[in-house]
Amino acid sequence: MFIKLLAVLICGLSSISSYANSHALYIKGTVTINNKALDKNKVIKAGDIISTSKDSLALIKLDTGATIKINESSSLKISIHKPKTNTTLVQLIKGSSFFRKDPKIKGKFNVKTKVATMGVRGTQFFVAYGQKLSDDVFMCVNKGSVWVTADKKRATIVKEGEGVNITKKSVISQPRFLPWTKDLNWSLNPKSKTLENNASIEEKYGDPLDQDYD
Amino acid sequence: MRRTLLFLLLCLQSTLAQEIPSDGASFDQEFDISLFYKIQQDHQFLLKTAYIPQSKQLDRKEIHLSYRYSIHRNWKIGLSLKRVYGLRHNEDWNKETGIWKWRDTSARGESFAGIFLQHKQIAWGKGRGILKNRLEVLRNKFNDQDTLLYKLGIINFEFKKWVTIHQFELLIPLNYNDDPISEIWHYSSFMYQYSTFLKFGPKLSLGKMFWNQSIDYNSRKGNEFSHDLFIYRLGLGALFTF
Repeated sequence: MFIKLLAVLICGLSSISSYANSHALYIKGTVTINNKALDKNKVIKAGDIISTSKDSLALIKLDTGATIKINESSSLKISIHKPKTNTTLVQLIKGSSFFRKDPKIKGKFNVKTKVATMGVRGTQFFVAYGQKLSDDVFMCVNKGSVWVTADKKRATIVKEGEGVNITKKSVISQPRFLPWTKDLNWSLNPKSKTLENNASIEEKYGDPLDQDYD
Repeated sequence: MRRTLLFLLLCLQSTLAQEIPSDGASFDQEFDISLFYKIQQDHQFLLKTAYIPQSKQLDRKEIHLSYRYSIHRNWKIGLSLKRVYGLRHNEDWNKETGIWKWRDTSARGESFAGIFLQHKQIAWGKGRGILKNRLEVLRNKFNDQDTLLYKLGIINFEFKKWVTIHQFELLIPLNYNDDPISEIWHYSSFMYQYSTFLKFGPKLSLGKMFWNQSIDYNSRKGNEFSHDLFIYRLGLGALFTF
């Protein structure tokens, strides 16, 4: 009996300690975790929902090697967080976020939206809902590559500098080169002068076929 | 005898030079401003004004309004209206004042109406290069001349802050001119993308314009003339997108 209790205690402590480094690196404005104010000492774990208000921003780091910048008026859920296997599944509920996976740490880092799931193959990408939740989801890659699937059968590979739209009917557009995405604020360094992303995020803006010059 | 022949030849050349406009090259400039306004995702207006000082022709002023509708991601149809001052037509070569010369058309406004179909497709690099084809039928309300205008362009988005546009343009007269082509152009534009709202940059155009079939010349001489002008044009353009 004592041995069992000791084993449970050790497992529990181990579990807590493995989450210990999952926390916020930077907070601006009103940011909540499970509807309570988030502070830098708060340990983030699976099941937590982190939300930002207008003019707010949060930069969080997970033990699994994932760093996430949650933009203003956004909300995401840490659905799976297994530091032992470096497995992370994040569900973007609304708004937009920047994601980075440390390439030195092996493991899975997937992001789920209402219409598609994305998996990191490289390092850094951005996901956003349109202004309304019913709008398309837009995703672009800054470094490395990301796979996107709407039906879990076929995956589209999106490479560095490219972006895709995913419609509410889960149709993924062909990846296309979008030079303007370099203008997004990709910084995930809490010591950066500014972390806010002020670049325009209009998924149609970048369609080179739609731009006329005469 | 030789001297007499040479003298007669020179006299003939001199007379012809007065009766037919002399060919040559023109070094011109162009300044234009374009305003693109998207009223909905698939509906867009363009308002463009251009001022073209020309060394061998009168300065040209243009205002251009067009509406375009995306029927598909790759296809657009459009309507265009244009008002132009300072254009030169075949019939403007005349001898109204006793000497052959081009009529002063700087105050003459001409209205155009056109309809066009445009196709764009990704040429390379998933959107780094775009191939554009546009076919437009243009009617000049001033003289009822119809022109088929074909544009073939390559738009290059390879550079983050610069867009380069290389365009070839052919103007085919449908109900005027003896020659099958009235103008042929190549345009190269280099647009700096300052923001999503503003783009600007220099442009270089090379073109050749052809004239013939003057009514006055034909009635006096019983035949036609042929005249062409090679044009080098340096320009500056600004493009605003709303």
